[in-house]
Amino acid sequence: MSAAAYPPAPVAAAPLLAVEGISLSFGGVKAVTDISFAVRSGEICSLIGPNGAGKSSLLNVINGVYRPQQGRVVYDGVASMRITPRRAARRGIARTFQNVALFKGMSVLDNVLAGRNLHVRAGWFRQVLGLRAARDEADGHRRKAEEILAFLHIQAYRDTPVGKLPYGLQKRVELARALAAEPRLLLLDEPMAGMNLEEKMDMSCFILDINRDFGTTVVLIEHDLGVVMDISDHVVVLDYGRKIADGAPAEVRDNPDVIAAYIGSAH
Amino acid sequence: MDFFLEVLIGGLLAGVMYSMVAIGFVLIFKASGVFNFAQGSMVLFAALTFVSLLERGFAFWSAFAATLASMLVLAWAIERGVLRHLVNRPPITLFMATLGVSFIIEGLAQLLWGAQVHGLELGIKDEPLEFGGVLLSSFDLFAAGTAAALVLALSLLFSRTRIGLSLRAVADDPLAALSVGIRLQRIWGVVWAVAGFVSLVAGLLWGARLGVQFSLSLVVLKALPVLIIGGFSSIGGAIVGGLIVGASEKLAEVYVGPLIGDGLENWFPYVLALLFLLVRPAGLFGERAIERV
Repeated sequence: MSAAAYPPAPVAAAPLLAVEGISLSFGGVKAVTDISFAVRSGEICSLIGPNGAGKSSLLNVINGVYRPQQGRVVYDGVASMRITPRRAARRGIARTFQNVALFKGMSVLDNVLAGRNLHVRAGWFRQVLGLRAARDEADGHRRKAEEILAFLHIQAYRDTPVGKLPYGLQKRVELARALAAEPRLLLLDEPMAGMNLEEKMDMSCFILDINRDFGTTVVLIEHDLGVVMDISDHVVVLDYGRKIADGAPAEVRDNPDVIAAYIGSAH
Repeated sequence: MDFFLEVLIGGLLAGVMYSMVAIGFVLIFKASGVFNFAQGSMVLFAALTFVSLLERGFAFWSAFAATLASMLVLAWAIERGVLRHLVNRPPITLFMATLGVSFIIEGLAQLLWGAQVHGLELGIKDEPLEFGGVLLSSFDLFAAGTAAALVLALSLLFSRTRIGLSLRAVADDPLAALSVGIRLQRIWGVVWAVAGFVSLVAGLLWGARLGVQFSLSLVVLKALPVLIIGGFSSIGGAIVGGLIVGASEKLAEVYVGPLIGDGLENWFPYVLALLFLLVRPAGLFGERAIERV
């Protein structure tokens, strides 16, 4: 995959994503309460917090799976009230899921090709007839998918049904599928959950490479604080659905509220 | 030898018609994991609507168009009104829902068009034609040709286009499919519309063969062994399964029937399907479930 295809994102530009006063509850149970933060274009932003802090819910709001009762999400300068996952995908938001959501019966390559869904131009009629243009286009998508497989070092599993791969590799395939959409904003829900140290190192490197080579803005949820502090430009901490800290990793690490949320407070 | 060929080819021709019905099931099963029990009553509804319109003086093509439109509305209503609300429910819930829908459709058909048996004349002659000493029915040839063309068109649609890939993606994980920008509603709509269209063609061909009556919805049950043999999730499997069922039931009827009694062709496919279930539960072409333990 050539870096030239993806111009590096302008640094310190206006925020690519701004979450403004989001509140979300499920039948009276509050998942997140009045959360605001901004993600600058080109940065890696981590959402951290204890289990049940509302991190995944927030990610689901950003990509339109859930609709918040209050607040709005401003993406690329446009505030949308009614985001749907498809609309989010069209505007360049790709994501992975906490419990790997892959097409398990399909091969690795087909999974990644499915990620190019929105880039398919030829109509189905031309595809049925197998016209030259449609075939060339299909070849292009296949090449692109192969490049992504190579980038994430999973070419060897190209034709393996995803369900047969070990968990760590499935996580990587899911990342590949998200990348196939050539997103501007990548939402990763616990990309390193359940991984051993080596796999975590690999995944961290991939995320950093994606961010640097393609200028993709990344918002990720992660529990391993070591990893978070290493790779993030910006950390947002949630606890019981509220934001308790927001800033550079070093600032957040020394914040007494964060320490209290993680280790329990003395008072 | 000629007689053997005649039986075999006759069986294969009937088999193509089974394949066509089976494809209606496969499409919906692939896209939403539902075994659509209502497929049979959709076939009946289509045939009954068509024949009733003909009897009320509609011309062939206008009756065809009107029936097609009503099938699309019906399919849309089932998808939108029933199944969409049951997304992510266990398969048995969905199955029971389609079972309920099938009774509603049959009742509706009866309410609209009455319960009497209608003859359906498509204007295709049913006379024996001879090919190299083998006698074949011209109607069977026509029906098989139509079914084959439909089957071919559908398999092209689902193997060459992104609809095919999207279809498999939707069946595998609807949420993930949404996140890569696949329009679930669109895919389900397409699938149900196609299933409605397939029911129409099947209803006309089977109706012309057997008469339009309520047992028509049972003929469709023959698709069950076809699917077990071919695999529930494969269009190719439905084709091959249909041919196997068609050919084997006719051959069994002719060659084994005299030994153990007639009526063999009614139950032989089910026995064959049972054997397949024991030996190859996913069918010839079905995706075997992959489970990591």
